[in-house]
Parts: sequence; structure tokens; C-alpha cells
Amino acid sequence: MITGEVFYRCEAILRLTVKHPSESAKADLEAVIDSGFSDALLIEESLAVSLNLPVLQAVPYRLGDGSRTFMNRYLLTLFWNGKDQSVIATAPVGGGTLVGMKLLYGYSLTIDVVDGGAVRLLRMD
Amino acid sequence: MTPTKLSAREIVERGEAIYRDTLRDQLEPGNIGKHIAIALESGDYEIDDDGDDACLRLWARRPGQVQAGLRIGYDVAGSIGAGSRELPNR
Repeated sequence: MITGEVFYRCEAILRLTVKHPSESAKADLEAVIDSGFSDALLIEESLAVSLNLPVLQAVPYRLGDGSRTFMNRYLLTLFWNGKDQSVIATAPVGGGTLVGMKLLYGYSLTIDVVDGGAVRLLRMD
Repeated sequence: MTPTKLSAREIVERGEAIYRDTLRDQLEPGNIGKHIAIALESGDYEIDDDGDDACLRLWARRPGQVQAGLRIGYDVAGSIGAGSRELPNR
């Protein structure tokens, strides 16, 4: 089971460790679970630069206000559910650190929506 | 290796131009909704229902060539923010 906490203005937070796919650089971060985010992981562009992550591609995205924007995507290694896995992370110009539905696919998510409440992710298979 | 000084917007726009000029006629309408990764330097591409799978397969074949990640028939490849459901361009 993966666990997190309800924190900061009722945001459900997971604490993650990410690193360069082949170098030693790594970072710990707090990511907000966002069911409106269709991809796996959103990171700050500055984090991608500090970890020297390779740019894989750029993509067009729709934001919640209906506008269209453009984002770089980077390959990184995420420690997830007890093991390292490769993840393509998206980095918007405006920043933000989010966990999206693609990373949560196959998990059951429960959130105790109170200050300090528990966040639980349980693999469904 | 494709220069990474290109902005994200420039990478996408170059990829869209490659798609429009060389790929659209042969790929639509049968692939509407699928994700396509296009390597800017070579024009090589991969198609898949999953954008990440297309990206990584193309990267394995064309390492170091930055890609544009598009969704065929749509003007975006993903979304952030609740309440929107993408529909095809036509």
C-alpha cells in the first residue's frame, strides 16, 4: 500500500523520490493527487533542469480554463510501490507537482478528507 | 541530435507541420484518437493508443532525437484540470 496525507488546503499529498534514469542525482518531492490530470506525473521545470533529465518530447495540453499550452516531457526513475520504475514526467511552464490518473491506474484510492487525514493507494489486482 | 534550445511550443509546432505535410493523408481517418510521437530530426514516428509507449519505442529507435507528442485528430495530447472532455477536431 502507498500512503500519503491530506495537507495544505485539503490537498491529498504523496511524498515521492525521483532520480535521473542513469545518473545519481535524486530529489524528494511532495505531489498533489489530481484526478483532472490525465498523465502520470507533473514536475517543476526547475527540478528537471537540476536533475539534468533528458528532454524526450514536447506536447500540447489543455488547461482547466480551456486554454492550450505546451510542455516538455522528461524521462525519470520514480520509486513507486517498493520499486524503481521509469516514468515520463510532464513539466509545465507555470510549475506544479502533481500525481495523475495514469500513475494511479489499477489502484484503489481512498482519502480521509480532514486535516492530516490518511491517503491510501491499494493495488487492485 | 535535435537542438534542445527549441521551446516546447516550437517543438510541437514543428511536429505538427511534419504531421500535416507528410503524414496526415495516410494516417487519417483510421488512426483518429491515437497518439503519435514524431522525431523532428528524422521525421520518423510511432503510433500507439498510449502516448508514453509511442514515445519510448521511438526513443529506443531514435535516441537523442527530441519528439513532438501529438494526438491524431485532436489539438492536444493531454489535459490538466477537471471538467473538460476532449472531442476530435472534426
